[in-house]
Amino acid sequence: MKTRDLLRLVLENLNRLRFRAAFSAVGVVIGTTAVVVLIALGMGLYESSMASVSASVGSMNEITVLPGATIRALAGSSGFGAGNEGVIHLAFLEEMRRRPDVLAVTPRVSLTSGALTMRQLLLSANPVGVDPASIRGMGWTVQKGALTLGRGSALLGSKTLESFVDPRRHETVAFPAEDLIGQSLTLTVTRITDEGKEQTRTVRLRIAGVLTERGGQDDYAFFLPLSEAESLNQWVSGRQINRAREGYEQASIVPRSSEESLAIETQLLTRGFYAISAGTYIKAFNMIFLMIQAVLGGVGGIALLVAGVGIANTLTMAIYERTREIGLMKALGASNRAVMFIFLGEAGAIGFLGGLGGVLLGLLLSGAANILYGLYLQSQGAASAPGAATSITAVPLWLPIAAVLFATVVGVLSGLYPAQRAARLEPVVALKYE
Amino acid sequence: MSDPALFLQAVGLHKEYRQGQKALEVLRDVDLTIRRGEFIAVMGPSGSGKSTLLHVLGGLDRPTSGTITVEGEEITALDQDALCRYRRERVGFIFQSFQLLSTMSARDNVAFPMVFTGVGRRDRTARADKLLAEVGLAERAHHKPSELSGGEQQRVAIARSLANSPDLLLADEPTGNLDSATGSEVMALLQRLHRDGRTLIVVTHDARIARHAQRVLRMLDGRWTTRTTEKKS
Ligand SMILES: Nc1ncnc2c1ncn2[C@@H]1O[C@H](COP(=O)(O)OP(=O)(O)O)[C@@H](O)[C@H]1O
Ligand SMILES: [Mg+2]
Repeated sequence: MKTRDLLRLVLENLNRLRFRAAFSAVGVVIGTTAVVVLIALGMGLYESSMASVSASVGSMNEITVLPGATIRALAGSSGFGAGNEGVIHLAFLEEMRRRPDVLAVTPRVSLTSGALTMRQLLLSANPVGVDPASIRGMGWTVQKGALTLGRGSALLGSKTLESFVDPRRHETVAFPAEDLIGQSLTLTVTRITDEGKEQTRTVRLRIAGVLTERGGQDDYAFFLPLSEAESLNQWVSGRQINRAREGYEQASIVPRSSEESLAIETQLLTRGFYAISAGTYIKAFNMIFLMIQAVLGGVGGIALLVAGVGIANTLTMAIYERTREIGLMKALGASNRAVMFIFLGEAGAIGFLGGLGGVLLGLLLSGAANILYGLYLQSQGAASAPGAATSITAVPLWLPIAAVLFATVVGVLSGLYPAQRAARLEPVVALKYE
Repeated sequence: MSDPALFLQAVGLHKEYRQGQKALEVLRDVDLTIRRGEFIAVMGPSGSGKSTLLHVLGGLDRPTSGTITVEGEEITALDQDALCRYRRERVGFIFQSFQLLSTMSARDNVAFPMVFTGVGRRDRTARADKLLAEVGLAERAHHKPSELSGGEQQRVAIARSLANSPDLLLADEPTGNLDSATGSEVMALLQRLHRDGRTLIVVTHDARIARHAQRVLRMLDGRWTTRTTEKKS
């Protein structure tokens, strides 16, 4: 029996029994639709979350290190070592610098009370002190100006270009990067004396360069040399901070390659530090989403398996109705195998056609969901919010293909038992069947 | 065995149906020798085992014991697949109740057995049309069985039995569901097939039909009742 004839016979039989076939295909359509819609929803959720995650993290490799004590305070003591474990003191930074798998290390010192002005304009940016020697190793690049952080100079994150405010007119002013190079900024810090008097101190910083956009918080930062940030902080707090003993509040470590970052993070965690890179974060994020997808796909898959039981039932019933036909086929010399293939083919074809229908319906529904979601966003006026997803579902190319394949496999599997029964019928008995 | 005209030889056929403790003996030590091109009628009361014998000879069922040899090949020793091939290529069955597929046209019914022998679609259709013409139903190719008379349906079934050019035609009461006029038509057709050189075994109750056969064998309780009666040579 030729494959083409087998296929033709299968299709003719389905056409002949189209009401029964359609009836059992309905289950497959529903199951496949469920698989497609649920996974598309999961993928949509994944893609929009991923987009906002990517927008909020910078370099994938860069490990952010926080002292264990910070996390202990947040988490209520448990974990991340205890006592003087996990302190980012100078010796620790020096040790990290010497490691062959580490490219660059810098502490990060924030100025909480700093206000930035340029001529009459205010600049809302976070002043951060970093080690000038580390900036090349950090992988930073400038879009304008020079990548240096000498005494009295500063580097601007890319988003700060849009963060100037004219206080008299209450509007933001955007600058092209080249207009800022060489301009002077005034950084003003404030402290309250013991007598309750407010004192200010100003520093003039020349803008050496504007950094290239990297994603993450650093795009909104204003970088100044570590030593200047330290001396301003000391003036504000009125005391000498012993970094060798007390350590820093935050540091960044850039490993030589991304493969090394997880190992370094793990070592630091066991030493009582809190350490994580965007790459690791996203890996964990991916794992969670994989699980969500498995659950969503599993629910749809179960619906499809139930549909398989329906196919099995329909075909088993069909065997009773078609007993004489089977007997005749055998009398005409059809082998057991041929009979089995015919029934398996019918089951597979029901699965395949139902799968196609389910994929079409699923695509339609997820498209409709996106349109409705878009309308909802418009009505909320949120469509233009940065990083906001404009679609709620996403259909990767593999999804329709895999769904149809899965439905076909379910069909064939559910045909196994009825097909075997049909193949084993005794021809003489089958021919007499009324 | 030395006779070059020897076509089929059955020796000591037994067939038993077991139903719990009881064993129903349907064929008891049946011998049969058939020459190539012979036309044999098998008669006997209902339940005497005629259909069972036909099924066993056609490879549709296996005897409990005994051997059947067709042109030197022992078909009782064949495995399942080879027995299917024997049915497919060498035997044509004609049933009392026609056994046509009601949803297929006459042409598709006739072409159906060729699906299992791997004949291409174009060739199948051409041969089906030719066979329908031979049984006088060329213009009814597109009709469904329900649109044909009983006699026409049986002629379609006979055309179908010829699809794969079998050597052996087995007809089980082919006129049993027909009135005597259409029965004669069908019988005339079977006679013509015999004249064309086919070996023919027809089970029948109708003595008029049996008259056309070269030999009439009578069965009673799973045994031959009389010696082989030669009528014509
Ligand atoms: N599959 C079967 N199981 C049990 N008994 C059977 C079966 N097929 C036929 N028989 C019995 O075998 C006997 C002979 O049947 P059959 O060959 O059809 O006779 P005939 O064709 O001469 O009327 C009958 O008694 C019938 O009931
Ligand atoms: Mg009978």
